[in-house]
Amino acid sequence: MTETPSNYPAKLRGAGDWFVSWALSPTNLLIVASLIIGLLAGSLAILAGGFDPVVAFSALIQGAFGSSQSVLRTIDKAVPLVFTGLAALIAFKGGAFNLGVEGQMIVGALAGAIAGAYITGIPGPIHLVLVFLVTILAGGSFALVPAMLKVRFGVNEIISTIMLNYVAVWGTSYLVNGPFKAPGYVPQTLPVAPAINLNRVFILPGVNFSLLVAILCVGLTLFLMKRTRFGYELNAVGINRTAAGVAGISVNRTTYLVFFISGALGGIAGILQVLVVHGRYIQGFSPGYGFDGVAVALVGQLNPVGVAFGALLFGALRSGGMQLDRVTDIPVDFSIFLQGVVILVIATPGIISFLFRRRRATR
Amino acid sequence: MQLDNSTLLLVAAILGATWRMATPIAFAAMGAAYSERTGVVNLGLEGMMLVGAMAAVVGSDKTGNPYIGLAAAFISAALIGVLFAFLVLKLKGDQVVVGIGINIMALGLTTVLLSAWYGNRGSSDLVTGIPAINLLGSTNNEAVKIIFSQSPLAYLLIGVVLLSWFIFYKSPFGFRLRAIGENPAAADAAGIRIVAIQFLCLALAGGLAGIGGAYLSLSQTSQFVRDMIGGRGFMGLSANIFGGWNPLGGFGASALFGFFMAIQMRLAGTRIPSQIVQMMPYLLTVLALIPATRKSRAPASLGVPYHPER
Repeated sequence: MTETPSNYPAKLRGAGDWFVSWALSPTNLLIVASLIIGLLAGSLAILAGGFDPVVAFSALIQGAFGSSQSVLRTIDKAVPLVFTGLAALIAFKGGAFNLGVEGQMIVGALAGAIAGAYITGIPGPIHLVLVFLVTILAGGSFALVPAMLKVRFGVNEIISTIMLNYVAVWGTSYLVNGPFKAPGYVPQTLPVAPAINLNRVFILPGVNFSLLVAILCVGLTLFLMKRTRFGYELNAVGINRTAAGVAGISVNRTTYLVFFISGALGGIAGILQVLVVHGRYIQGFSPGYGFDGVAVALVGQLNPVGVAFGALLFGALRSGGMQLDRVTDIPVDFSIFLQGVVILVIATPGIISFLFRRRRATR
Repeated sequence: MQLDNSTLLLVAAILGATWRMATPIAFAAMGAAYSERTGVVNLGLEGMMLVGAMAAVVGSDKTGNPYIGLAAAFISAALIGVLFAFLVLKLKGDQVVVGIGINIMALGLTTVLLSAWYGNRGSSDLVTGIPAINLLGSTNNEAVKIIFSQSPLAYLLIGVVLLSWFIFYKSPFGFRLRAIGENPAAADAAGIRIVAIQFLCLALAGGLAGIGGAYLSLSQTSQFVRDMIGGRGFMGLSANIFGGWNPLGGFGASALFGFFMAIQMRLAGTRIPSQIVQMMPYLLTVLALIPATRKSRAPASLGVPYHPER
């Protein structure tokens, strides 16, 4: 380094330039554009329904960030999306679409909840590890079905994973209404053992244990993708399956692993809802966390740290939507609509040049 | 073979139910054929059906005429198809992800409007539907009467299937649209107006999906129910693949899926748990994809974006 103090301001200016170029990067412009278009489209939808957009959006923002309580709720809603976002991300990077995270999540969560409720007489920490193992195995194995169909028979995983979501919904519904139903009217399992109920385990005031697991998984995924042989193979297969195969990478093995990890992450999203939020498996506990994973991964620009921010955005929409539902007549589904608009924009980078075409033409 | 009367009536009831169950799936399958034959994967069909189902109910409710509802369903879903086409073809959006976005947006939008216009988040008011008519009203054969007691839309479907087959394989337009799906660069070089044809096909795909949705809301329930499509759009996509991207094949596959659903209805109320029965059509659809993928070949450029330089 030959830097002298005299070019220190230049370096600062360099940092400023870096910031400007980062802030104006296509990625960020796209996210800003998605929010603006979401605001416009959302206002139109609200006007069509005969409501007041200003009231609606202020309730939405108030509900997402207005008080410490709403910030905590936003984090609560964001945490499961971190896992499902990472699940979608891993699949994307490996060149596959896993639209079945929702199904893998509920299968993993139910299996883990059953292990948590029916296994007794072992120390809490071991029990907890066991529950996570069962969850990972169940969620991961359920994801191996579309992987196997893809590898062995060439079945398109987009369709098979979507169909298997319905299989998971009805299959778990059978189990939780039949053999594993707790007494009472609600389709739910027995509560998990008190020793592994993490409802009261906080890492910060009001911030529960799941956030820790989420941060851990972001770090692990980052490590896996950037620092391991598997990460290298994953990227190679994702970029070009044929070339990766020619280069000696076992494409099939990588595909199986990708789906297993993806499904396992989905399962972890679910079991944390079981252990931390509900204390048991309740049918319909997920408002679509698994389905949102794909969008979260895209908003996060297919980067694990980005996924955390994408999850925060979608968590805020969910949390704000709940407030909206409470204080206005607009249902929480309004935030689903906004999520759809955000996904459309994020998937369409061409929107930026479309919006700015006139400016560019005059240059 | 001598069939006793009750067996005959049972078979007729299952066949009639198969046709009813197959109709919305087959409309989606036709939409999928128009999309995928021009090289575009259209996962948004599910959402387009949902928009169609809602528009049909609102149209019927406002005018009292269910056929105006049907037109509203076709037009609004076709507009969503145009939006999809614009994002994917003009702005180079990712086909799969835009399709997913359309579905999520449609679910949110229809529920917000349902809540706004009917004050209910679960279902709309009952509206004038399109009831079944007996096409062969003069016959005295009970079995035939049971089978042919169908919504006019179910008969319309047969016409759409045959017409689509004719368009695909016997018309110059069909030759062009298939050429786009196989080799867009060559089609472009041959002077085929690729983007115009793709736009038209995607609008038509949306409209057909919309009619499928309208069938559900006007002919089966006479009301709109939140998220009422239940994966039939995706089943239509599967049926299109299973049917080898051919309208006749897609119709046959839809009939098979419809048969699964008809059997499911027959098994409801028996000792088999209802959830397992509900699961069967989806499971069988997945299993059906195995032989389907083996024997048929997708359009060569399916899912591969092609953007002409003009």
